[in-house]
Amino acid sequence: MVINAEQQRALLNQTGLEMLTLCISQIEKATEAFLTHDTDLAEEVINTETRVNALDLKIENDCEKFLALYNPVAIDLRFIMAILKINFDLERIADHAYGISKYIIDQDKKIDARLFDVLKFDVIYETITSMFDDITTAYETKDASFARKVFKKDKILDKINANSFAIIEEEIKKDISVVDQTLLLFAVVKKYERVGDLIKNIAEEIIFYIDAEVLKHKKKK
Amino acid sequence: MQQASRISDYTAFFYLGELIEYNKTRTIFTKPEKKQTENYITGRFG
Repeated sequence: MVINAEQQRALLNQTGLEMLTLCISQIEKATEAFLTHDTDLAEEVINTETRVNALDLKIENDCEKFLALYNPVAIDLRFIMAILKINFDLERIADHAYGISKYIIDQDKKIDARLFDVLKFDVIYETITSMFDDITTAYETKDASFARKVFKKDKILDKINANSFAIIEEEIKKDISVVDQTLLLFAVVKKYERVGDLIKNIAEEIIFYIDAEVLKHKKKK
Repeated sequence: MQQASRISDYTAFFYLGELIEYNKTRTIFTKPEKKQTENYITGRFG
């Protein structure tokens, strides 16, 4: 069966959405596993990594084929360029979910819930979930205005990350026995800050694809 | 169309005798201003 360019593009769009949904799910599960010290859920995230990698390769392969066979221009070309970069960023997001899950497996005890509160894990999780919703809506509806919402939200994550060192220092001074937990939390907060940056990159790529506007390296957003 | 993008500095798109868009070749083939131009160069019609 011969597939024309339009059909191939639609298939690629669908695969991109599948990758987006899968990577979001990985982060959500890793977060839940981390908050509740659910090692079974953490194992599930680790095992699903192979599927993420397979989708990553499939998208790259399909993009290469599309470029070779259809010589895309204008919006089609921007779509292929964007989906390649989005795919790369999503794979990195899934890697962070994998990393968080590995921490859970390696850590033998549950983290003190109070430490989650002082580091504002609820705000981190809400913000990242909201950012994921924005880029998913932007991708599905081809409306760049949703993608533009993530830039302000990323600043919330940056601020929490910036404050985390001082907070952790304080907690260790109060009670030295929590040093292992706080250091782990410090590493995980950094991972979420990176996830926020990657979501921001995805938003920039979606805006490039839809509006042909390059936001990368621009100071003001 | 590949010939136009390869050899020209400027490209004009006419449809049924009407000039739809005229611009630098690179602009026409990366971010055309008119939807009709975009539909043509991406193969959605013609």
